[in-house]
Amino acid sequence: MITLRKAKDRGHADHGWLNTWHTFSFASYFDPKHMGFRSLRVINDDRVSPGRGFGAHGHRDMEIISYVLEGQLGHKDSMGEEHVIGPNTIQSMSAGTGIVHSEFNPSNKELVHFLQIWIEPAEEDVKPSYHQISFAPAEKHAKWRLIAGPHADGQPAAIIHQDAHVYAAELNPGETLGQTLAKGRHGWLQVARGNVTLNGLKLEEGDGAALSEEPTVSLTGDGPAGAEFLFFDLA
Amino acid sequence: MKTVIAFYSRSNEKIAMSAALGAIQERAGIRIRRLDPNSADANFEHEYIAPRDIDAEWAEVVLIASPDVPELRAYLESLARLNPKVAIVRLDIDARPGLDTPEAARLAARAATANTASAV
Repeated sequence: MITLRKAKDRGHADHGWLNTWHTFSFASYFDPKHMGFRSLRVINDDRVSPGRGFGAHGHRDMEIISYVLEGQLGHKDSMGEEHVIGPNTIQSMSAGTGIVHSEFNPSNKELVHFLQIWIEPAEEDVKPSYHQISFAPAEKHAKWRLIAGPHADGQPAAIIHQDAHVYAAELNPGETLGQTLAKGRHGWLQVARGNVTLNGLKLEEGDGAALSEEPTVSLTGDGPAGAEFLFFDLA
Repeated sequence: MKTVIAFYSRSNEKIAMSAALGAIQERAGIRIRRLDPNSADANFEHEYIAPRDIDAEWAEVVLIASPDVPELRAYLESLARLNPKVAIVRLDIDARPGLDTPEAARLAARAATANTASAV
């Protein structure tokens, strides 16, 4: 069974410096029908103006992943981590017992466009940690690149405290990619950029899709530029 | 427990962050605010925003790491006006050298958050 979450139906807020779309309830956007999917709690599609960002704030007991699509994202946290990441670099924080961090656009010219993803951990009170993994664009072209999971899978990946595997991929128009969901597993597809067909269904940028009891997943790049997307394999 | 951590400048940032962590460890919701309206550090304004009236109205506990400056006095007056019942804790920013001040701030924040939660 596939349930679509259309981009236009997401929560939306434009604060001037931040233009954000919420796949699930977040901040002032509350919809009891969209509180998350399995352990996937938040997918925010954020565009932050040059020189602006999220001031220091705290997190507890959450796995937080940032996936940059365009521009650069700065990060500074209470563990002493201070980094700037761009496309093809994954940043993951296990908030655990508590962490304070700020995120900002370090460029004074370019917008930063990124997805922020929250996954509920399998256990509370873990020691806070930070992971940052970079990979070559070719590693996600027409193939699945594991970017986060409970353990690495032959390639470096951000480690999260949950039975959830997050993959990135991109397809040119007409290219195809398949995935299987084991019995009892659930999937979420999030289209980060472009257009893709999922098991015969047309999806556009910002669309999401929940998959349950769908053992076979088939994706085809569409439109003039294909697509970039994330796939979550969830317990 | 809704906790505001208000600090003056970069000099007090480490203590404020330790206090913020302490509050989070007690599962408080936190908001971090800076009191110095002007800073030579261009990033300071982006990393921390100034206190807002809605923060004062929201807070149950306010932890303060600041010297006695006019901005602090103005902030305390605004708290008294907007939320007279809020619990205010001054963090020790003048600890003697050699003492683990950030750790003391973290523990003070945990104690303040826990004690206020039990009193509410």
